[in-house]
Amino acid sequence: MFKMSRRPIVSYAGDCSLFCGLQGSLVAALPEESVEWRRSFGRSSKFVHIEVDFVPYSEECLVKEPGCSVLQLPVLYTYWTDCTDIETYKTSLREKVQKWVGELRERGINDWMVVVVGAPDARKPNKLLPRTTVLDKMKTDFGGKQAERCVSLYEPVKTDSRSMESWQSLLAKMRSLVMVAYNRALNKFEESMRAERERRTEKTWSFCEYFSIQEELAEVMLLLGVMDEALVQYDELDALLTQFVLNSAAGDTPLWLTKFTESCERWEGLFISTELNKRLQEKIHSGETSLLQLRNYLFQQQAAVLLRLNKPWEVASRALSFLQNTANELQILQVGIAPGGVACWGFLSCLEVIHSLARCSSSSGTTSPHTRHIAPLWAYAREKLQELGKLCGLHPDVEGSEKLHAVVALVCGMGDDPHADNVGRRPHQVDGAAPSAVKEPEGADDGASTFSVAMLEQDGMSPMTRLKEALSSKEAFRKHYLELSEVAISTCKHIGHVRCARLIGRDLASFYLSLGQPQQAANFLGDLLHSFTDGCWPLLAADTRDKLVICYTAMADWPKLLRVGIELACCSQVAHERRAAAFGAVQRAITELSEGGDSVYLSAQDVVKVEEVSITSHSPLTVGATLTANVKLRSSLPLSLAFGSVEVLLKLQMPDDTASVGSSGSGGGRKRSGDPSRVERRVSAVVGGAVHKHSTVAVMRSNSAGSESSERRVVGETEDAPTDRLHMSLHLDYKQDNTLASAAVHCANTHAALSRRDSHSRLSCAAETASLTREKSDVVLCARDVTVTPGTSFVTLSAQVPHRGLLSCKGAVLRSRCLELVQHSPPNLTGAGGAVEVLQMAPRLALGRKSRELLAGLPQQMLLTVHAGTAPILQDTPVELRSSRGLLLSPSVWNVTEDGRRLVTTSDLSHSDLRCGKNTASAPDPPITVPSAFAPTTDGVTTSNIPPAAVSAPATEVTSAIDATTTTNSTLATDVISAPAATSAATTPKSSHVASESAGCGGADEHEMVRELQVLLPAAPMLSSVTLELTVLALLGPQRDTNAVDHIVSISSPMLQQPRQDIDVHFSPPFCSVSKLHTANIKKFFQVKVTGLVSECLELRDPSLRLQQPSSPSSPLPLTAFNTPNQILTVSSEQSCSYMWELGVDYSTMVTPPLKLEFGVQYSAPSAQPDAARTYRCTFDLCDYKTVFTIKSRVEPSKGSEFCRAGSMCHLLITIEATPFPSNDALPTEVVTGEDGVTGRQDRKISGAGDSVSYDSIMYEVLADQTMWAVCGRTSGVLSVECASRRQNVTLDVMPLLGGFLPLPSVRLSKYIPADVKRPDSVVGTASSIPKLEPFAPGQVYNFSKGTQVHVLTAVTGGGAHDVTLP
Amino acid sequence: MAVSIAVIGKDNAPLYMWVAPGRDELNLQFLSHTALDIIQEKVSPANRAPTDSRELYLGLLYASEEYKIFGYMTNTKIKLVIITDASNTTLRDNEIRMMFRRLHNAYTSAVCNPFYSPGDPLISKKFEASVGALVSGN
Repeated sequence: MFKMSRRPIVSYAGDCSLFCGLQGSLVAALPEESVEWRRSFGRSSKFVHIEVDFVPYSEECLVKEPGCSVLQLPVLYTYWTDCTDIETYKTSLREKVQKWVGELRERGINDWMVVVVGAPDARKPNKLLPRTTVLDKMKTDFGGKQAERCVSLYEPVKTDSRSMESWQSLLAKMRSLVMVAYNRALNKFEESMRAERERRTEKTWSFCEYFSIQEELAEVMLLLGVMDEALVQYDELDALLTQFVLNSAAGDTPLWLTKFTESCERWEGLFISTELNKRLQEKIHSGETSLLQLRNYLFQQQAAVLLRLNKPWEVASRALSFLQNTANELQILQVGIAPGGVACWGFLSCLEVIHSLARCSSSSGTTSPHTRHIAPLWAYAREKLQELGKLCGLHPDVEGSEKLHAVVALVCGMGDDPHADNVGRRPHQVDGAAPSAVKEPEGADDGASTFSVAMLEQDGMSPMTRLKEALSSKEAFRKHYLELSEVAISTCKHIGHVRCARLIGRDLASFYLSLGQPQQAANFLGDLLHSFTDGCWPLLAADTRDKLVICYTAMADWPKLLRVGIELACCSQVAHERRAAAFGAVQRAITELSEGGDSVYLSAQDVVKVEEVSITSHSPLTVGATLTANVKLRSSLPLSLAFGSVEVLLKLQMPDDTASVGSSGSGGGRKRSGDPSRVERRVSAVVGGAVHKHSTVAVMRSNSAGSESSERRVVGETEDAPTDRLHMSLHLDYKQDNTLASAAVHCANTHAALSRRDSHSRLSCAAETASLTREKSDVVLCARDVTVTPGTSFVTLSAQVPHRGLLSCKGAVLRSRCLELVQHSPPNLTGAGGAVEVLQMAPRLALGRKSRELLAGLPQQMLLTVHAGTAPILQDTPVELRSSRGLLLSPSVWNVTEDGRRLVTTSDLSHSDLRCGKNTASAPDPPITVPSAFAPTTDGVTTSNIPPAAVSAPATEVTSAIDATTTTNSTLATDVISAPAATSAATTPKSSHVASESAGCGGADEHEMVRELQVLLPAAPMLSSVTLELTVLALLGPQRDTNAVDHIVSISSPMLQQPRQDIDVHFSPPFCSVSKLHTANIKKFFQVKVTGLVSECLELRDPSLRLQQPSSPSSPLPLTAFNTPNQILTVSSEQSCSYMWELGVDYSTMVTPPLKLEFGVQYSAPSAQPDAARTYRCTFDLCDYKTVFTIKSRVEPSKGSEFCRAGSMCHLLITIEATPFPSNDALPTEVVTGEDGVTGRQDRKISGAGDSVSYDSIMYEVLADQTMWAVCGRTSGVLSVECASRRQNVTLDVMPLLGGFLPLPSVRLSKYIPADVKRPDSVVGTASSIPKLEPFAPGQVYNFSKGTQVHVLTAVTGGGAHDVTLP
Repeated sequence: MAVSIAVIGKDNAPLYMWVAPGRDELNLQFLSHTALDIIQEKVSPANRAPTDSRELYLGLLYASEEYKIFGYMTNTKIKLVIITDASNTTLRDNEIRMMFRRLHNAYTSAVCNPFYSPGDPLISKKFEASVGALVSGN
């Protein structure tokens, strides 16, 4: 009776009528307040509300029945009385109570309580002497140590404060006493339970019995509201059962368990409800259930507790493992169950849990925490339904009728629908709090779960009706299965389990496929595939692709089939047969697609990869050449595939404008950037692989960083390429004064170059989608009709290189009809260190000297270097050389090679032009060419080479000076012609100078030399050079100073881009000549000084001086040489030499004709043969060379003194005398040394001294050193030439200021031209006129006293004075 | 003991897969792959208690009727997945934990190879031997 309520029992004795009056209020009031439950064994105390059941006291209820637990006995015994009269107590009550207590004590029960109801004394109490009340008496009689067990209740019917207080205190006392007693009872109960559990190994022990015991405890806990404790009891039972089952798997099956192994015919689902399933409980206690039922019951109880704990998500999280464990246990125990039974149970239970949670969530609004756990439940339910569908033949791919008997059997086993009363209604109420109507989905935050719930709720189907309906027909099954799958997928996705969702999608895809809806299936499979390729799960991806191939084949979606088929065919993890099959599908797709025409682009990365491109064409690569490359292909295809074309795209990048590719020798065109304090030089070095021989030095402007970064980005896409470069740049920081502050090398792209390359690159490869852009400048290496075999194969590709630049690989494209495999990551470009340079270099010509210095006037060697550039030099490529006037070229040109010298075919252009003009006319008289270098041609090449308008020196050379040589030439020529030249005269009629090998170095004579020369180059391969040795002769004209002789050589060749290339050539003159005129009174001497200018010595011989003008033989000017005949003089920069001649000046005539004197000397290098000497000529002009005046001056002491003395006045006597005219007698001449130079270059137009009309007066000036002489009076004066005699004396007073030998004050004479020429009586010092002074030409005035000194005594000592004349 | 062992890289690509002979490799791979979902969920900062941040063992990820899937994630986000038979009840949680620890050690010594670049599939005889010892229960 009390068994089911499980409330603690309190017995009552004594005045039963009294108690019955109070019982109702007691039962109601006791649970009103919580009481602390102090628990033993250190468990935390709890506050619980206690409800009690009252039973009347009887003897028999003290007796413990066997099989009756402690909890079925009263925990507290109460005795109620309303006796307030002490006498009555003493007489009757005391005895009764004593008996009651005695009975209790007999059984060791200490939990009793006596309640005395009513006022202790109705009468007024005597305050002085308090009377003992019944209560006091009782306390002394029975209480002993437990006096508090006797309580009084004061007037319960009254509502005054005193009685209320008394009531409350009774309640509190009762609660605590009940609790203490109950705790004791519970402890006792637990002890017995534990003892029972310890017996579990005994054969007679039964789990079901123990189950009922522990469940009792659980129920007590539930009653006390200690939910977690209750759960613990159920969990312990669960674990115990699990353990038993597991142990039974190990062979230890107790007797009671064998009952559970009996075959099971019912598979009712869970029914989660807070109401106790008493029928089932009874069955369990009696041990008449199946394992499934027991498990169901256990889980239901757990779920009920959890729901009361408001932990619905825990129900969900436990549900799956419960379902799985139970199914497992059934298997372990080998319970005979009809096929599909477990699935049915699983499905029903699963949906029941979901339903109950949905109800719960819709009531409490806490949906999100358990969606996470619901998702697997949906998946589980779906799985079960699928299983059932298979079992019952409801899958679309199963032909024929469904297996009806199986369905019927399953439905039978489900039993009655626990929700039967709710069918058709909205979901039933779980508990009182649950509203009858489901709320609409709350908000969008939990879309998936609310959606799924809503979907389930909309038809209000109980799990069983749903299952029954699903099993009813194929269509219904399809509908439910798809619905369930959708819900499962969406909930999985909602909680972020994308992979789970896709895995469900895989099943769904199979289902759709069997439904004949490949499109739907493909969608799911596509998603699934996506998750595998992301993570590179080859096996899973292959499986998915397998399915996709089927889908796409069914859909006839050829492009996708192609893509998937290729991927499958290339998967190395898959068996060859499957790959071959996929390859067959691919070929079919290609065939189908080829009719359409559209191309399908695929990444070649994992299909046919171009692994290596090695350039096989010969280096260096030049523009326009055919680039051939050997390409290593790695095909992952299982079979051979024919490709229409295989192309490798090479990016041809033009080098930077500032980069000097191919001219690295020039040292780099360093350019200052806009910012003067900053120069950035970029040096690109090839990293990895062989460094190309042209290291590229590029100078970058600082402000071009933008372009560089964009370039960097391009490189970044091809990260794997070995062509990755470190962008090193040079930073020079200058201070304000342009001095270097710091220099640094900076790598701008360290970040990119040093970035970690691990798995990311693999992923990025897989996700590569960018298309390969083809630019115009790209070079496409191509091969046609290639059949690529599986594995590694080699193909040779070729392409034309359009322009120069750096080649780097960009990617590759392989075409097989409509299939285009595009490879983005560039393959290795080997053989050239990652990049191949295409060169384009124009041929260049350079003319340089061979030795240190080029000398004019001597044959010199020059080197003509022809750099071939990127085109080879063809045999007989003409190079024309034209020299400026005065520079002659020898037709003997030598090709200087490493293994010797060889003559080169040349032709004289000017001559051939000439010859062409009279080609036919002069046919019988062909120009004679002479093989000997010493044999000049006779046809006047030299003269024709030098036009008449040539500079004076060569002209004179030609016209007059070479008389002798001309004759020798002709004789020589005739000699040669008569002798051996006859054989060699048989030269080409082109009259080209076929040079012989006999020609010595520098032996070319100028007569053989030409100004225009055509050289036919020998053949040379590209990028090499030809060096030709030329002999040139710069004619040496009159050289009066050290100025260099400048010439220009113009070179033109069809090889060159520009029509003409002018090269400046500077020749140093070996020496120069300077003339000087010396005078002694009226005698004249002419000196020529030859000064060497170069360190090389030159030998001079046979000097000659010849009067050129006036050339009239009537008045020959006698020239007397003072030079030693046949003497050889050597000049160099350290040594010069002079030649001297006396001019026999004729003073007999008045006129002084200007003279032109030509100096000539033979010069030759000391080592040269004597007949190689050349003649140097130089002309000098002389005018006004006759002496006109002579000056004599002397200093005399003043009268009366013998010596000049410092500080005393002296006389300066100057005598100016005109040279005698021819009519006059020659004045006695005094030979006094002195000189005046007259250079031939002076060309002032002053009339000669003989022309006396041009001036009347001369002016003298006394120029004295003011530190030595003080001149008194006028220091200058004008003398008339005409007046008086030819001799004029001037006396001046001078005073020496110093003692010693003083140089005389010098006297200067000038021509005096008065201001007004018309007035003949020009007097000195006319105020208004500005007279002019003109100096005399040097040599016209001869000063006898030049350099004379006078001895002046010092001022103090007197003494004689001497005129001292120093030489 | 275990029927499958998977070492999955930080980018969720498998580095190493071992499946007991005779098992449905495809299915087990699917399970390992799906386990990533749960691992991801478990290690997400929202779900992870701050106290167990040093605990690499993630416990039972999920179970199917046939298999139990356990997870472990190293600090470098290498996921280790061990799949056992669901019927194998002799394996305790602690034993699984020990297995993971040994597997982790084996993985660590494998990647100590300087010629191994992280993220590549593990091809190492020593590692294979370690896994072999692990699954045979030695």
